[in-house]
Amino acid sequence: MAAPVAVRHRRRFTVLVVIILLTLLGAIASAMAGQLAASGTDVLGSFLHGIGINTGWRPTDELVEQTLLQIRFPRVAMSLLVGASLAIAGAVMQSIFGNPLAEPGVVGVSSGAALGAALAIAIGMTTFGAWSIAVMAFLGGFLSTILVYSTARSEGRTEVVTLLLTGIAINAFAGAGLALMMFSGGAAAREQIVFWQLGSINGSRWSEVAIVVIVTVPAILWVSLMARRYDVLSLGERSAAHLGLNVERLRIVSIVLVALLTAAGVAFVGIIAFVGLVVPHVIRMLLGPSHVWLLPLSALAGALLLVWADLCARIIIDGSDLPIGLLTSLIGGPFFFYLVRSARSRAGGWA
Amino acid sequence: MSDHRAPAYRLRNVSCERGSQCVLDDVSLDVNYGQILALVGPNGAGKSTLLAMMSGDLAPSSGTVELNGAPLDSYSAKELARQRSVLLQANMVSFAFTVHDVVLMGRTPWAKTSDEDTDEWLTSQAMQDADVEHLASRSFQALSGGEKARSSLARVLAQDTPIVLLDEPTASLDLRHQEDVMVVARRLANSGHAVVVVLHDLSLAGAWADEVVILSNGMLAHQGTPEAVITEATVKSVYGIDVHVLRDPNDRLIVVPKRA
Amino acid sequence: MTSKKRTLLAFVVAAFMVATTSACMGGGSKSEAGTPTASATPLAELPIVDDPRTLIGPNTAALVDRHIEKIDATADPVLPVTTTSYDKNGETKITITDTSRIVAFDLAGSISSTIWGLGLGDQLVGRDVAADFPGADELPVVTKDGHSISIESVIDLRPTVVITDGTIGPIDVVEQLRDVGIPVVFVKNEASFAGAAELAKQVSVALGVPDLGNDLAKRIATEVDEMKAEVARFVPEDESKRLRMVFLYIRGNSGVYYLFGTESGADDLIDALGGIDVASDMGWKGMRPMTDEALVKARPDLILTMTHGLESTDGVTGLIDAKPAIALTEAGKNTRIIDMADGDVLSFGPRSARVVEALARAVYSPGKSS
Repeated sequence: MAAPVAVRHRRRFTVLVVIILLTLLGAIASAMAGQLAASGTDVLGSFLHGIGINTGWRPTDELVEQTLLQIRFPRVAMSLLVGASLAIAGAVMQSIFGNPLAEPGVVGVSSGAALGAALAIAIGMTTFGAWSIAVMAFLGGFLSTILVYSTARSEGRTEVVTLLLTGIAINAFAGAGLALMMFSGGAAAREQIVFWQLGSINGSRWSEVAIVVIVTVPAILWVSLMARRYDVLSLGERSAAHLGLNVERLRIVSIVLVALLTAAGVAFVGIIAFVGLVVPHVIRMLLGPSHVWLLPLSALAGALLLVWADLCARIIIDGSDLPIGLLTSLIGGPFFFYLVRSARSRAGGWA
Repeated sequence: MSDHRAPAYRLRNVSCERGSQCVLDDVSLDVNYGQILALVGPNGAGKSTLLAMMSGDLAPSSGTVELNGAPLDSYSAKELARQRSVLLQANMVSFAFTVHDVVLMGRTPWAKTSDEDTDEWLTSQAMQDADVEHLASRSFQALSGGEKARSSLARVLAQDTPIVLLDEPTASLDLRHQEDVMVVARRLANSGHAVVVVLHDLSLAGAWADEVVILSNGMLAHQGTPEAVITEATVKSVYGIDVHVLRDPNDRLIVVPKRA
Repeated sequence: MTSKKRTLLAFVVAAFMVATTSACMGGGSKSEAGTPTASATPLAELPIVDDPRTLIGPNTAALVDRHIEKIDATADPVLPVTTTSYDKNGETKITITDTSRIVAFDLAGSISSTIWGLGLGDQLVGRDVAADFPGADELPVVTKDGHSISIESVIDLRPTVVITDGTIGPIDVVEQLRDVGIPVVFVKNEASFAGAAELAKQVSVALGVPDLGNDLAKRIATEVDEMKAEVARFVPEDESKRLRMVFLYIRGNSGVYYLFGTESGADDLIDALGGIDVASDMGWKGMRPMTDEALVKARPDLILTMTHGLESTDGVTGLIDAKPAIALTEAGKNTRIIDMADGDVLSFGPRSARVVEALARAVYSPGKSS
């Protein structure tokens, strides 16, 4: 695991470059895919034009360019942002819970946020203008996180069983809440709720992307700056405090940030589970547990995962969008199972 | 803040209640620099609570705790971390950090004050002292109990504080490493550190401590030099067992139960 | 584990929703259930039964002719035109400069048939799956699973205007078309005869031919009124002999009936057929699930339903076997279950009078069943 420093550095660099390249490739492929034919140069030309550089690659067909600029690019941007947010939120949750099974989808933060968002839609809330749904999603996610944390965490330890049971309870409650709104609400509410349960990046618009950027980019940076503290926190709360860490403050700030990162995604693309579970775990296997690398690389790899997942969701069945949450759960479900089993086989597990 | 004429710790009439139970009852105690203070006593006597009180984890329900002449609660978490380091009984690490990573975390309080070379040097020194150099690249989670205890001790040493609080550092160690730990403690004390160590082995306390405090039912039962405190009579009264207090060839105390 | 369970549940729910809605609109006239009553005998010459409650046996109502009849008049569109769009977030003004390429979609296919009725069928370039009447059936379908839109297949058709009513979504996706520069008009589309007339007016305004719309609206209203008068011949004077009717949406394996009440369109149909609209009497609004006991209590003499729903229960016999509550009603005892193609029965538009005619035939002149 701990190779000599030079080897470690080379490895990190390789992983970083590979992830960035694959992400770019995915973004371009995703922008090219769709019923309306668009070539790689169309994509690049439109992108450059979009940021104010005119090149010969600009598509000659105005409609193709508009479709790229208004439909595909926001979609790609949204998948990158939400993937990054969910993955880094997962890594942070695992750190503050001291447990690799903690993940926004698994422990109910995502469904709490979805419930909050659904409530905002159902009662037609406009208190916070365009931000209403996002704000309510945040409140739902925040309350769920607090609830899980206060229930599952006792005396500085997280009982795996309690964590998962709390997750079941919150997911069941939020599911029932959504179902209630589905029964009582109109057709539009029903459509929206089904959308949340499975998640889809379909229909992302720049105005939504803007909200997600404003919320998640600062949160991702903030979280990354606290990487060293998360390292120290892995010694346990008491030892971390003995090393001068203000554990209480770190915990509160982290919970708020996790709720923000999760809710921003959930409000506009629905519940996409397991990204926060799979991605940090894989990065840890590749690069070790240090959060200085884990957090930014999880964000990048999350973006990578979701941009490709969204591409697959669109092309697996011709002319039809699979719910992306369904795809990530298909990968994440068995992975989760594997994690639980390997925890059990290890003496004491994570309890 | 730090006044080196003052004792490292000055505890006055400290009591601690947990629920309806009185875990510490009116304890007054000074801890001096340049000395090893051994805290001994039966299970549940309040040794760990007293240590938690000194480390700042617990606040007394009555009485005062001063660190270097200033009230303990006037220190920020970071200031405290530069004054005292703490080794807990149980040590865990959530993710697969290597022993080197873990020991390096001991340098956290000094981030941005020391350069990286100092951190690395102190880290490797600490690993040498705790005899975990050969484990440097192993995952902490995969270590045996004793190896974990020694790695954690290395982390505490790397923190490089004038006061070192050790809660049963020898509990899971083999004979050689028990002695090694006490040698390190001795060296720290000789170089001016204040060392407080909770011990179960009265022979270790007798052999290494400058001062011994025996706690019993949350009260400070006896305090003084090992010779003065560890006697057949005090052990009988506190532990309820008959012992021989003997001397080894170097005239250090050995405590063994009287067996039929 | 918990999350897997949740996801599975969510998937089942979603699958159910999709199945429900897509079956709702799968059009088509082919049906295997019941016996089609599409005889050439004019409605006016069919024999009258003194007490229609004595009739027994299932039946299938089918449009004899699925064509949309264009109105006689023609008009040159006056463009550009500014019209009101009833968006999710309130009304907005939309300006349309070109109507040469129209894409229309809604659950029932009503907008496409209205455009066809206005005589502008040759400008229609894309449609929903329900608009499968002759002439439009060759056009590309832009919905992918019935109730949701594939935005790029719309853009790919390069429409100059898109007309829809919000029943096919997601709404956000539909509104995205405007980001690309395609004007989107949301019309109000009520499932009723009056709604069909109103729809004709709105669509014609959006396409710059308001006069044609007024003509079509008048024609729809007149035809429906004439048809009602014709049907009235079969309706017994004695109120107690009139048929108590319910419109049920049935799904074979889900165990759920949706009873269609006011505002669903079923109320208008039952009224036109001279039946007693049990759901409206119960104060039932929209489409909501109902229990076995409520169905028994409603005492229907006749059940209207959609062909695909009936197929999913393996026909009338399968339905009665599977749903003892239906067997307990007069409708069940006499197997008086009338089905009609999903895409036709609740699509209000230029063909509404003929839908009533087809249903009236099936209800009052069950043909060879005895």
